[in-house]
Amino acid sequence: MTRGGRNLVILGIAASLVAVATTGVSLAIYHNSGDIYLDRSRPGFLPDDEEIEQEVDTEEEEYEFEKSGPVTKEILDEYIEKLESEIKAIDAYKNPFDASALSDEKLGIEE
Amino acid sequence: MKRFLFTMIVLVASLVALPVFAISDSQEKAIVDHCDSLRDSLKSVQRDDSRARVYLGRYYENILNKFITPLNVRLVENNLSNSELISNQNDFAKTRTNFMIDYVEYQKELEDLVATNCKEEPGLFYEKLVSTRKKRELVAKDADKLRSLALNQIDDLKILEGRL
Repeated sequence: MTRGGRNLVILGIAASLVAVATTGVSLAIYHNSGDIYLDRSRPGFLPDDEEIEQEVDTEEEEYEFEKSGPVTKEILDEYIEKLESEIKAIDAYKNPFDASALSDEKLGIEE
Repeated sequence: MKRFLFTMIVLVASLVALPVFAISDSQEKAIVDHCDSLRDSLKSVQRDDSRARVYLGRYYENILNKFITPLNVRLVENNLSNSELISNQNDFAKTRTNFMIDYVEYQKELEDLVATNCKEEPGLFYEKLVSTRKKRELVAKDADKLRSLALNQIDDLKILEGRL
């Protein structure tokens, strides 16, 4: 192998090592920042039929209160009605993060 | 006297250092015996929680950005600014941020728990399980608080409505 060819190989290896190192650092930052946990729970990550249905359901109900305009009793009544339906949708998700999911009994490690 | 003090310090230190949880022999055996199924159950909890986070997170975002914030802007524009509603907006935004932070912390602990070798280290596994439960509790409290803040918004608004 000529001297130039050898230098080229060294350069290639060095470039690869730098790329691996910077990618590793980036992934470590991504993991430690916690963004990975939020991204992992985004729709589409889980190939799950139920998740897709929920997405379609929520897309049907789009309401946004206008930042400008008069404030009347009728407008506030509509606002309250829409907000109540949002709260109702939250309540439809039964017992989110409830303690029983990680209980000894549920995991089968009770005394 | 010095010896007495030293003994007392050692005694107090050992009491403080004692783990706050206890694992019985039968629990230890159950963890070792059902290690694989335990891991599967925890992974299933991880999936369910991811779904809950995205489902609830979307509604929290909607409530803050499409309801609470625009209403306060509009009330200011109409000289009807209300301190309770503004305070509610701040609390909601802060709790929503806490929900995200606590969720991330909880997921980190849960991932660490799943990665723990329950066959080799059942005691450590249980210790981490107890810690993960506490983190999960924080997420549940944030979710409860966000719901009650959304209800407060309605109550405060009804009071304002009565004054119109």
